[in-house]
Amino acid sequence: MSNTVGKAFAITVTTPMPAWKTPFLRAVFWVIGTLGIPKKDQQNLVALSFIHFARWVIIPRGGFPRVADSQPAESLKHDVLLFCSNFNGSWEQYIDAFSEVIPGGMNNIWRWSIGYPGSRPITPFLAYIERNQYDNDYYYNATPYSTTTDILHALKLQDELDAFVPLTAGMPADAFQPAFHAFLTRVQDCLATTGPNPLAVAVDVTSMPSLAETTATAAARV
Amino acid sequence: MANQLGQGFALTVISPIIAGHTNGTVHATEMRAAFNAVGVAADSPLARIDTLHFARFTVLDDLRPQGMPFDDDHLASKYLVFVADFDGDLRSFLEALRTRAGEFTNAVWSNCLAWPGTSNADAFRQYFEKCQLTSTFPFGAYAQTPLHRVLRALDSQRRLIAFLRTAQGLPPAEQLAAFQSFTRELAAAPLPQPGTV
Repeated sequence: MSNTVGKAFAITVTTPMPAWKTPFLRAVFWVIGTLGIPKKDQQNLVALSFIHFARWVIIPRGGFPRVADSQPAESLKHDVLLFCSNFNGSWEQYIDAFSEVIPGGMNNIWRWSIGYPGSRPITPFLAYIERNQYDNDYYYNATPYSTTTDILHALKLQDELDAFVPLTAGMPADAFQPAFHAFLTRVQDCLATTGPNPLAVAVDVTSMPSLAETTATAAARV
Repeated sequence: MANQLGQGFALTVISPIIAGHTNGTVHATEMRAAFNAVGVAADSPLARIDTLHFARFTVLDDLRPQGMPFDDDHLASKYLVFVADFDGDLRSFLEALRTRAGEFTNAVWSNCLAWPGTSNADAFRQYFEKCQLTSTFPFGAYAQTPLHRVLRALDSQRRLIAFLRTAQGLPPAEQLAAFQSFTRELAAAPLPQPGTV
């Protein structure tokens, strides 16, 4: 089992859906993706800032790939909704946050699945997800020591740094200091340190390399 | 196309695993052994693909039972689910998977039906295209940003924090000189390896 690498957790869930309900779910995704509705749920989801990447995939009951004549044909009675997410925090925190922050959004997506109890109260929702999830066999994460928020803040910092550095060329020292302080004020929320997962979950990456080690490793590859 | 996510791609592949065993090797077990044989993060063979943000491999032994009165579905085969989020287009990623992580890829997918191996680029790509599903609704918090930019930004953040620890309280002229030295180091700093930040 390999659901965690560093600060990221991978959740994989499948739920069965009657085929006649699938068009309704496709319509929900179309409305969310094209019209941006419901906006409040999307804003809340972005504000939570704990999901790196996620996806929902509708697998039609005849949609499992058949690559050889020797492969037995599937005869499923239901379509399958596959959900995969890469997020920060523990599994319980993740499901709990979904239930708390975007209960309507979750209901709009999973209400078409068989046995879905609703996102509130939380206990049956947790049990439903737990019953339908799979442990992953291998998980890869290119940024194990950084949360989604760390990355978003680092990107903001990089933009600010890219804009600030050229301005300092030829700048007199007495003008530099107030400009530098103003720069630091703008990026003060972007200066959190990154590192190993502080949670007591399976940390399979022993420790973050030091800056010098990272530099040496990267230089060796050049 | 729903697989497109920002400047990147949300790939979902489902490959049927060879049933039972061949010469005493149970394929689903052999596949899990292949996963267990490689490292994670920077030590993963996938870290050699410098456009790959996240990937997972999940064996679907069967669909989950829902209990009475639901008429449960059961799969006729076991399947390997491969999910990846990467920069750029599918063709470039598959070529990187084939050439930079070929040994690992072979060790995993050689347990799947109709696997063509990694020696023929066209056959390799066609296999994945055959097993690919369309992602209905992908989401990415920084899907517009390629991995090299993410790695660079995280490295800059660490270096700036380290610089600030040493440069606080310096007189203006010394602080300016220190900052200029810092920016030169920053410009010359190599890109961190995937899996190290």
